[in-house]
Amino acid sequence: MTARAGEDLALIQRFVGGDRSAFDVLVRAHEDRVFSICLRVMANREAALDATQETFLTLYRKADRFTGTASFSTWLYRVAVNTCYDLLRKEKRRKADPLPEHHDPADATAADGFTSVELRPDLNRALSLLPDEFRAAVILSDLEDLPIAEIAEVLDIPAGTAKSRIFRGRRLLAQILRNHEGLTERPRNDQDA
Amino acid sequence: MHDHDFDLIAAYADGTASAEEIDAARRAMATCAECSEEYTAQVNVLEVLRSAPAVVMTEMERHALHRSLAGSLPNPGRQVGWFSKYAPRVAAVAAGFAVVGLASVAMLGQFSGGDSAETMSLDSIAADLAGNSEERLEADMPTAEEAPTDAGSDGSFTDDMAMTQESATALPDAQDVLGYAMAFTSTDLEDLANGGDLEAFRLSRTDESEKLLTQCADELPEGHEIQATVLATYEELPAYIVVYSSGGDTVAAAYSSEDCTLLAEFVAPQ
Repeated sequence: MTARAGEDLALIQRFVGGDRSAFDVLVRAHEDRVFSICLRVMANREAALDATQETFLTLYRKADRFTGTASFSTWLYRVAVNTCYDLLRKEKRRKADPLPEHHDPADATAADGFTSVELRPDLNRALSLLPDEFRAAVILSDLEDLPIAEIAEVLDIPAGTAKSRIFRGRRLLAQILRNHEGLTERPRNDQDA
Repeated sequence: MHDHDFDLIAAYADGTASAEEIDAARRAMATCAECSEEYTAQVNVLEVLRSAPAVVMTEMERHALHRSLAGSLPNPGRQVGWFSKYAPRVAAVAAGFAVVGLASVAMLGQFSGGDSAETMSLDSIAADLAGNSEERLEADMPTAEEAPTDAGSDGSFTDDMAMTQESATALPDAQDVLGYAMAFTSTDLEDLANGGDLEAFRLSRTDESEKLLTQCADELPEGHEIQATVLATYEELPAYIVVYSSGGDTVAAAYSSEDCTLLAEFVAPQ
C-alpha cells in the first residue's frame, strides 16, 4: 500500500466515523485528479466541474460503501467516470432530436461551449466522438496514465477487456484524426472496429 | 485481418507486448501492409495523446467547487433536532423583522442624516442570522499544514480563504436559507427505489411529507404509501424527493416543489 493509499484509508475511516474535516482533506487531495478525468471525459470545463462536484457529493453520501477491496482513489475514479457517463447520457437525452449530424466535430464542440486549452482541439473532438467505453479506457490509460489493472478496476471490467478497449479506442481515434485533418496517414476503409 | 492481430500490433506499439508477441508483431508487419500501417497509426496517436499537457484546475474553478460543495452538503448541525429543523425558517422570519426594523432605523436616519452604518449592519445581521455555509466549510477545513502534500498548493488554500472571508459578509443565497439539504441525481433515485438507505439521504417522514400530501398528492397513484420525503434539489431544481410504495413496487420520485411536476422517477418491484 502506498503512503497516499494509507492516508486515504485513514481519512475515509475518520470520515465514516463522523469526522467531517477528513472529508475536506480528501476533497483537497483528489480534486485535481478527479477534475482532470471529468474534463477529459466531458470535454467541457463547466460540465467537468459539475461532474467533479457530483463525484464528491456521492463520496459524501456513500463513503460507508467503500469496502477497501480496491484503493480509495480507484473507487473514487470509478465514481467519477460513472458520474460522467450519467451526465453524458442526460445530455444526450436532452439533445436527442435536433442534431442528427452528431458526428460533425465542429457542432459537437460549439454546442458544448468548449473552452479547454489543455488538449489540441482536434484531439478533443476526436475523443468526444469515441464510444463512451473506449473513450474512458483511452483517457485513463494515455492521458491519466493509470496502469491497466487500475483501469480495469475503475471500469469494472477484466484487464484483457480494458486492454482491448484501449487498443481499439486508439485505433478509432487515429482514424477519426486522419479523417479530420489530424495525422498524416492516408485514409483507409477499416470497418473492423 | 483479425482483431487479434491489431491488438498485437497495438501492444507492440505501446511497449506492452511480451517477447513472443514482439516477434509475432514483427513477422506480421513484414508481410502485411495493413499491419505496418496500423503500427504507424498507433504510434502516432500515442504520441499525440502522451504529449497532451496535464489538466490544471484554475483557482476560480477550485473556489467554485468548494463553494458549491459547501452549499450542497448537509450541515450536520442543521439536520438534528427540532431547533435545527426550524432554525432556517426562524432565521428567515427574524431576518424579515430585522429588515423591517433596520428600514425603520434607516428612515429615521434620513431625518437625522446617517445611512452607511445601517447598511453595513443589515448585511452582517442577515448573514449572522441565516449562517454562511462557506464560513462553516472554512471552519471545517484543515490548516495548510494538515493537508496532504499532494492536496494542491498551499497558495490556493490561502486564496480560497481570502475569497471566503471576502464573501462572508454577503447575504446567503436562497438555497442556503431555505435549507435544501441535498442535491439528488438520477443515480440516487435509482438507489432509493432499490432499497437505498433512507437515512443516508436524510430522508424521513417529516412535515415535508405532509406538504407533499397536500400539494402534490394528485400526482401520486391511488393507494400509495409514502415512506419518506425530503425537500432537496433535483437537477438543480427545488424538489420534493419522495419514496413511496404502490402496487407492490417501491418508487423513488422527484417532484418540483414549485408546481408538483414529476421531474423523474424510478420504480423497483418489492
